[in-house]
Parts: sequence; C-alpha cells; structure tokens
Amino acid sequence: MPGDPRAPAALCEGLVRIYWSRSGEVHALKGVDAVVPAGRLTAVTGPSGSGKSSLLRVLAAQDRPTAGRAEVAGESLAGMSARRLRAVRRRHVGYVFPRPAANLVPHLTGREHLAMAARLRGVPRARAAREGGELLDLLGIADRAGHLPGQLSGGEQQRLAFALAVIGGPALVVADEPTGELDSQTTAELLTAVRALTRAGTTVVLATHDPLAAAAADQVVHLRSGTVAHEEVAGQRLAVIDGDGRVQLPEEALRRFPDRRVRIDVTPDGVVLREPS
Amino acid sequence: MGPRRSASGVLRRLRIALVPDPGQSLGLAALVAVLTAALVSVPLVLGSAEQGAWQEQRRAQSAAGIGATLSSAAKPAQPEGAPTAPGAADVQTVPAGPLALVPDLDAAVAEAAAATGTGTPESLARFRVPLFAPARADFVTRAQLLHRDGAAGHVEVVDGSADTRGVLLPRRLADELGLGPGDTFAAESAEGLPTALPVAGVYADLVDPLPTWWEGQRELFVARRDPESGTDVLPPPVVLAPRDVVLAAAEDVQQDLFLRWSLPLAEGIGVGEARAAARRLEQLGVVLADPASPVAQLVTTADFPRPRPASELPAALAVVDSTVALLRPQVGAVGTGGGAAALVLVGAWAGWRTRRRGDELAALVARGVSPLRAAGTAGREALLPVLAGAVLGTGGAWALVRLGGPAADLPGSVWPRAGGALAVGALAALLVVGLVTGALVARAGQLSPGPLVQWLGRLPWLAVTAAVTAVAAVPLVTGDRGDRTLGPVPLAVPLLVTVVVAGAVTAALPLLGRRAGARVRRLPPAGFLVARRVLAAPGATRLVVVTTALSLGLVVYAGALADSSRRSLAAKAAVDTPADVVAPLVRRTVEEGALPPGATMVGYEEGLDVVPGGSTADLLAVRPDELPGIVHWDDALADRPLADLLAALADDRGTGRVPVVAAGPASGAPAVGRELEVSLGRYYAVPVVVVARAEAFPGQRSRLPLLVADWDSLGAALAAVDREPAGVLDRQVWAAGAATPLLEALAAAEYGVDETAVDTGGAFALRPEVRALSWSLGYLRAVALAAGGLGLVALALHAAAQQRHRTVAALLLARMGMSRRASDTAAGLETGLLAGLATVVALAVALPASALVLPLLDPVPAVLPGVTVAVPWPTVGLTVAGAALATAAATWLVGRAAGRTSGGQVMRDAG
Repeated sequence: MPGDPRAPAALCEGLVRIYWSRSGEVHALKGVDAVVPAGRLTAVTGPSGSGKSSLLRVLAAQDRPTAGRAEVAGESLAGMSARRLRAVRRRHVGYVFPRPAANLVPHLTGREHLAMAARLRGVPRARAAREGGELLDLLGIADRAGHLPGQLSGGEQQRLAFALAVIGGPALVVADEPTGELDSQTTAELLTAVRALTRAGTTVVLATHDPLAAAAADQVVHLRSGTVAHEEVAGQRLAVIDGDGRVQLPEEALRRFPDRRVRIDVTPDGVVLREPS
Repeated sequence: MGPRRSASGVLRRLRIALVPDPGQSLGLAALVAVLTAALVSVPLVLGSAEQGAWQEQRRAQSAAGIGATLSSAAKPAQPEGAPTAPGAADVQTVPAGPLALVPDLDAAVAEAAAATGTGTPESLARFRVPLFAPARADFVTRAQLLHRDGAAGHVEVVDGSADTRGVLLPRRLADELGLGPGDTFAAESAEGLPTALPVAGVYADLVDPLPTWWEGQRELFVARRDPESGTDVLPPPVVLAPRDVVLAAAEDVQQDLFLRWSLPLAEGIGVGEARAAARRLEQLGVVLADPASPVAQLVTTADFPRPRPASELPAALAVVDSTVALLRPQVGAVGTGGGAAALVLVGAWAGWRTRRRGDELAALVARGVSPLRAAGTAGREALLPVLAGAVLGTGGAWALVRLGGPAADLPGSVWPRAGGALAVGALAALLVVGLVTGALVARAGQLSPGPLVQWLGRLPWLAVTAAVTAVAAVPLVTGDRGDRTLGPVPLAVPLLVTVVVAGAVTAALPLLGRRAGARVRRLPPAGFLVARRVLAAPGATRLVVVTTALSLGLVVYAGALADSSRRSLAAKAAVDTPADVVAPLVRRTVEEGALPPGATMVGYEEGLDVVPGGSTADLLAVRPDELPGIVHWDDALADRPLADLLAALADDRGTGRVPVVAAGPASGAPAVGRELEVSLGRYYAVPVVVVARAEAFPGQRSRLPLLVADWDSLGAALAAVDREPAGVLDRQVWAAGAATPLLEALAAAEYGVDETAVDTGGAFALRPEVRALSWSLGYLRAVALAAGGLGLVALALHAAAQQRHRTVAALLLARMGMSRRASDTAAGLETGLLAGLATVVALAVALPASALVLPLLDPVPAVLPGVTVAVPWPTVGLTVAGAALATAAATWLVGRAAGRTSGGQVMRDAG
C-alpha cells in the first residue's frame, strides 16, 4: 500500500476516540470519516473542542482509535502496541508543534537538527546530507543552516521544523497549528514553503484556525463536535457519507428540517432531500 | 583554518553529545558527589576506624609488649658426677640447654626469623643470679652481667669504648671498684667460683625515666623501695658485655642464663603492616614448632626450653577487629542510607531534567524515539558529570574522613573497597538517570496510564507511611528491642515519624486556608500572596516541606544521639573506672603501711541481702574526706553535687543507723528515708538508712542497687559484731595519677595487689563497643549535616524554580502595581515560612522521637547509668541558623531571577 502512489497517506473510517477522565467519558471523535490523499496539503479546521487535536494525534500515530478504522501509510493503528506505534511514527510520520521553539533544541544549529532528525529516522548520513541541503533550499533557509534557533525568526524556526519533519521522506507530515504564533506575512511565507513541499510529493496534514492556511490547502476537513461537518475540495463544499450511508447535513440545510425527518427522492439528475409533505 | 575548524567542530559535537547543558550537568555532578561520598565513606570510615583503633591499642601497649619475645635458657656443662653447687639446686629442675650451644640456638632463631620475614631478632642473655664483686675490704657489691644486641649504642660511654672482648661498667660500679678501661673486673658466684672480665669502658648510669629502648629491662635499673627500711634500693649494677663474654663468664662461675630474643614491632606502622607482622609471627611459631627446624632439633637434642613467640599484637588486633565489626553494621546502614537518599535525588534530578526539556521530550515522543534510546541519550549526557561527581565525591570523602575520622592515615586495604563503592555509585547514578528518563519518555508516549500507575496514584502514601512507621516503632515502644543492635529499621523510626508528621501538617494547610479565608483576604497584598501560596500547599510545596523537615530532622536526630550518648558514656566511664587507677587488693596477711598521697581505700561487697523487701544490693564503703580529687564524678550521676552526697553520709537522721547513699535506677533502688538491714555474712547485719539517691555511683559494678556508706560509720557498726570493714569487704585502692608509682608505693607498703585486675582511667573509652558507638555516631552526624545542607539547598532551589514558574503571574502583579520589593519580600516570607515549618517539625518531632532509639545505643548496658536524652543545643542552633540562611539565599535567588526576567520574553513564552 505505501508504494501505491494513488493510495491515501492516511484514512479514517468511523473513527471513534473516547477518553476516560474522573468526570466521566469524553467522546472526542464520534465516527470521523476522512481520507488524506498523498502528496496533498490537507487542513483540519473546526472550533475548539471539535476534535482536531484528537484526530491529529491519531493521524500522527500518537494515539489509537477506540473504535473504527485508522490507517497511516497503509498500517492499521487499531490494536497496535505502543512499541509498534512508535515504529510507525519513526518511519512514516513527521510532526510539527505549534510553538516554533518547541520543535527545536536551543544548542543545535539547523544543520545539526537535520542530522539528528535523520539519524533518529535511520537515514544514512550521505542521504541525510543531500536531502537536508535540498530541503533547506526548498524552504528558503539554506543560508541560515549554521545558525542556532535563537538566531532564527519564528518563521524560519517553523520552516526548519518542517524540514526536520520531512527529512527521510515520511508518508505523512502532521502539523498542529503551525502558523498559530506567526504574523500574516510570515504565515504566507511558511505556507508557500509547505506548498513547495507538497509539490515535491510530501503529504501534509495541518490543524488550523487560520483562514490563510485553510485557503492554501488542497482539501479542508471541517470538524464539528467530533464528526466531519463537511469537506472542501477545489472550492466545493462536500458532505461526507460514512460507511453506513450516513450524511451529515450542513447547518443551513439542517435548519430546513426542524422535525428531523426528510424525504429522499432519487432522480436521474441526483438525490433530492425534501421536507415531508 | 581548516584543521582548526575541524577540531573545534569535533569539540563542539563532543560538548553537545556529552554536556549539552552545563548548568544541569553541574547539578548532577554535585548530587553524584554526595552519593559517591556517602558510599565511599563507608569503607573509608571503617578503614579509618581500623587504623584509629590500632593506633589506640598501639599507644596502650609498651614497645616490649606489642613486639614479640622468645625465651629460653642455658646452663653450664656439669662435670660428670660433680655434686650440684649449693644454692643452685633449682638449676637442675629447670630445663636448659648447654651454654656451648647458645650461639647455635641464637643462629637458628635468627634463621627462622629471617625465613619468616619477622626481622632480625635482638638477643639478650643475662645471669639468673647476679655475681658478687668485692669492692672494698668491708663491702661486697653485686653485679648483673647482661648482653643485649646493640646495648652499647644505647648508653653513653663516658670512658673507653665498647669492644667484642671487654665489658662496659656502669659509672657507679666503676667508681666503687676504682676500675677503668684496661683493668680487669673480677667477680665470683655465690659459690665462690671466680671470673675475670676485661674492662673496655665505662657508661653513664641509666636513671628513671629510662630511655624507651631500655624499658623492657626496667627492673634491672630502677630503684625499688625496701619495705623494711623504707628507703629506695637500687638493683645490682648492670655490666654490659658481648654475648661470648657472658657465655664464658657463665661457664666460669657455673651459672645458668636467661636467653631472650626480641622482635620489636616497627614504630608508626599502620594496621595493615601490623596484620602482616602478626601473620609473620604466627608463621614463625609454626616454623619453630616444626620438628625439622634447627630450633626444634636443638630443643629436642639439647634440652633448650622451646622459644615461642609471645606478643600482645594478636590480642590488640582482635580488639581492632572487634571494634570494626561493631562499627560495620551502623556505618554501613548510615552510609548506604545516605547513598540511597542521594540516589533518590539523582532520580529527582533526572525527572527535573526531563521536565525542563519537556519540548525536547515531546519532540522525541512524536518522532517515535524509544524509551531505551532516550535513556541511552540521557545516560550519555550524564556520563561526564557522573564521573566528575564521583571523583569529587571520593576526594571529598577522603579529605573529610582524614580530617574528622578516627585516624588520618587510611590502610591501603580500603582502596579496593572504596573503588568498588565508587564504581557502584557511578553506575547506579547512570542507571537511575537512564531509568527515570526512559520511564518518563515511556509515560509521555503512553496512550493511557497503566493499571500500576493508576493504583500507585490512588495509594494514600501518608497513611501507608504512617502504618509502616507504627509497625517499625512497635518494638521500640514496647521494649522488645531484640539484640540491641542499631539496624537500619530502628534507626529510621524517628525519621519516619518526622516524615509522617510533616506530611500531615502540610496536608492540613489547605484546610486551614479554607477556614482562614476571610482573615487572609484582609492582609496586605504581599502578606495575602504569601498566606495563599503557603496555605494552598500544592504537591511540590508539600514535598519540599517534608524533605526539608526530614533532612533537618536527621541533623537534630543525629545531634541528639551523639550528644546523649557522649554524656551517657562519660557518666558510665566514671562509674566503670572510678579513679585514674583502681588497684584491687588481695586479703591482708601482713601489717600494711600507709597509703601514698592521692590514694584512698574503698571496700566493696556484692550481692548482699537487704531486708525488708528481700532484695539484693551491693555495698561500697568510702572515706568521704578522701574521695574528692580522686574519684571520677559526672554530674549526670545524681541530681546534686558529689560533695552534697558525701556530706549526707555523715547524717544518720537520728536513727543510729549507718547513713547510705542508694545508687541505681529509681525503680530498683530504695527511696530516701528507707531504713534497711544489710546482711554482711551469714550471722550479722548492718542497719542502714538511705539519706540520698543517685542514678549511679563511681565503682558500681552491676545494675543492682549500690549502697554507699562511710567507711568509719560502717566500721563502727561492724565493731558491734566484732568485725571490721577490711576483713569483710573486698578492698580496692583508688588513686589519682599514674599507675606505676602507685603500684610501686603499694608494693613497698606491703599491700598485696592483684596486678592482673588493675584498671586505669581511659580503659572504658577504649572498649570496642564504646569506640564503635562514638565513631558511628560521629559518622552519622557528618552524613546528617550533609543531608541537612542538601535539604536547605533544595529548599532555596525550589524557591528559585517557583519564581520561574510564576513569571507570568509576577509580571501581571507588577503591572497591577505590586512593587518589586513587595514581590521579593513575599517570596522571602514564603520560603521563610516553609523553612520555619520544616524546622519546627524537625525539632518538635525528631528530638523526642530520638528517645525511642536511645536505649538501643547503650553499648554497655551492664554499666549504669542508662542513656538519657540530652538536648543538642548547638545542633538546634545550627539547624535554625541553616534555615535562616537558606531563606536568605532563596530570597536572593528569587530577586535575582525576577531582576533578569524580561516582560516581553515572558509574554512571548507564555503564548
């Protein structure tokens, strides 16, 4: 599967994640269906508490689904041990934290960061040096490679963080609010760099509240209350049909059906939902 | 440029790999130094104690006693059929070899000594009976002929010089006889057999005090008092002669010789060399006993008494071993406990390091780094600090043990064990750093806490610790103290109690805060802030108060143990050895003279029946007017001065009975005013009345009550039954000063002294159990002081860390108008309150709790009085001062941290 260029980098079907706390169960994800196509930039949006971070944790192989199916690079995460999850993270997932400084170690230069990240992923030294150089060029920070994080701007730090996440060619790069602490100019520069990465074949999923980031994405998955409210692909807003044929209607459509009952007419032109007569 | 850049690059990579954060590394190095010092100090202290005990034993023994001596005897050849010389009948009954074979025996002994490495024996030969030398027509003097290897080198030759054929006369003999170098010294035996000895020289008479080299022949040179005339009588002059001259003279006068070989122990040798010397001596004994050895063959064929090495060395080493054996469990428990505590702190450091680098940890978890790899990285980064700390700790322990240990010189045998302890400490530190880091990384990557973690989280630790403390304290409280050893569990009870109380107090703080809510709100801003922070008592604050209370409690506890036991041992020493010299007398057979000045006679009788009550007591008769200045007295023995007690012995309260002081535990000794009858022998009893009480009295031999009476009063009572104290009681002479003059004076006054039972002041302190206790408590005190210091440093660092956590709050308070000074004052007050709370708990709990353990510390329970708690005021003062110093240091650290904080940076980081 990972070798199939048409295969998605990650997918979720009926993904449920429930946390247990002292105050009771928290249903963070209530059956999410999403596909992360390879080589694309996917944005996950939604209000706070909608399940973005939970979904990202699963996609980053940092968590297992309570129920449903979740696959990263063709490997199902359900029932996977902590050790195998670590192996999936190491081989197939790059991760970018929201705070630029959190991605970097203060006493390592950019080049040393790349070398360390490559070593952790098991990339041979020569390949790491070549890939590192290419990434720094691609992200526009080649001239800053010998600097310490404290000498880099927030945008440069975040671009370096993406370089660390991408080196070694993971199947998926997961970024949690990567532009959250950047101004609009820097955000635009970072998104340009990320687009460059996806054009080079990297799959990126980012959780964001930032309209600029959402606008730059090939696909936007909008979460609401632990479910996918809708997706936007190429400017079209799409509802998601889950494996059992359920469709979540957009708010404005839902308001048309106050009795929560609908008549479905299947016509040659399509499927029409009507209020019951 | 290229190579330089490359070299600096390598160095940079090494620094990043090994010491990425020097500040953190410094902290670890300091903790590992403490850990290693605690572990390494165990063998070092034991080694120091071994050496110290050896040095004390060495000082207590004479050079002749501690060295080895071998004895034999030789006699002249008897012409066949010749009658035994008059006065020499006993010569025939004592086995002795022929004089002619003495050189062979000498050589054989020397050969055996050389073969076993015991050195070159120094031989001595002297006549059994001194010779007679006519001085003037009306006076005959006597002379002792003596050969001792090297003797000529240890006298001052004032005329002529020593040679191999002539003798050296002492000046008084030379003057008496009018002889000088070149003359002939003519002497004869009691039987009139003559000998003529060429005079090679004259030496200055040896007088008391003798040179150390001659101490072994003291009886040949020092005058003794003649009991009949009461004057000092010098022994016969000693004529020094070469061995062959002595042998020839003995043959001439048909006299037998005492032969002796000395193997002196080298001065200033350590315990290791002493052990080696003891082994060599043992081997020498084996060689001499071997039938195939030349010495044994001479013994067999020539009838020489078998020379056997005799030395006090094995006994001295046995005392050393006994001391170390008694010390080992306690020192081991304290050192290992200190090491374990330091290891816990190393673990806490590892956790702190991981939390300080939380971003890095999260990044590692997100990248799928395994806990093992993270542990390996942490171990690698800890390697240099651990090695540096281990070296520093070992050096520190060595310096401190040298400075404050029983002996400055450590035996070489401690170093392998110290090296092992160092390695164990360093490896344990690396292991703990790796384990803690690995566990934290594993937990960070854990999807949900495991059942064990959940269970541990729910465990009521305070209640569990309280239960464990209660169980551990049961034997101490109920009196079931087993074998009275100071094991780790009883030793830890006061500390556990301190932890439990400190935990309970801090747990109660939030409750107090809720009750004091309204009153706290009325405080000024700084006071309100302090009160809220302290009363909120979050987990970290509770932990800091508990650990600080524990460390200070340890200081107080160790101080209480050391001071109490020192006081008790001083009192016991006074009871066990009541005077500088205690000389037991044998029953009187002749009329005795007066005691020398500074001595007093006492009488003692054990196990007397006392009625009414049917109890048993000892009786001590003293002369109250002579006792002061002679008796060792300690104020802990009674609640009133000795003079008062002795004065009370003159007051019979109008009862006509013998007034006595009852000494012993209050539970067993009769009360003041009690009238008793003490049975002395089967048919007569002495009526006594108790006029005073004491916990114990000098000379008291057991835990039985002791009745102390005035000798004269007792004598008057015994006179009624036609007895006198000297005939009824065991007598002892107690004296101040040195033993030798007293014993000589007693001998001169015809007192029969049991010299094997003479006790001298200081012997009590040299007992292995007493020495072991003193040294182990000194060690505990040193470790406790280190722990206390560490606890206070942790308190100050906690305050500084709190400041870092509160940067945002501090900034907001500053923007709301709170001055920097008020903010610093609040931080100082908060630390001061926490330190004060910990100090109060430590003093209020650890001090009384020490009383539970103190009875276990009595090394000689048979000697009264028992151990009582002494408040260690200097330690209390030190603890309070330390808490104040830590508060001041914390205030300074917090102020400095606040001064360095940039508001913009704070808000940026907070975002």
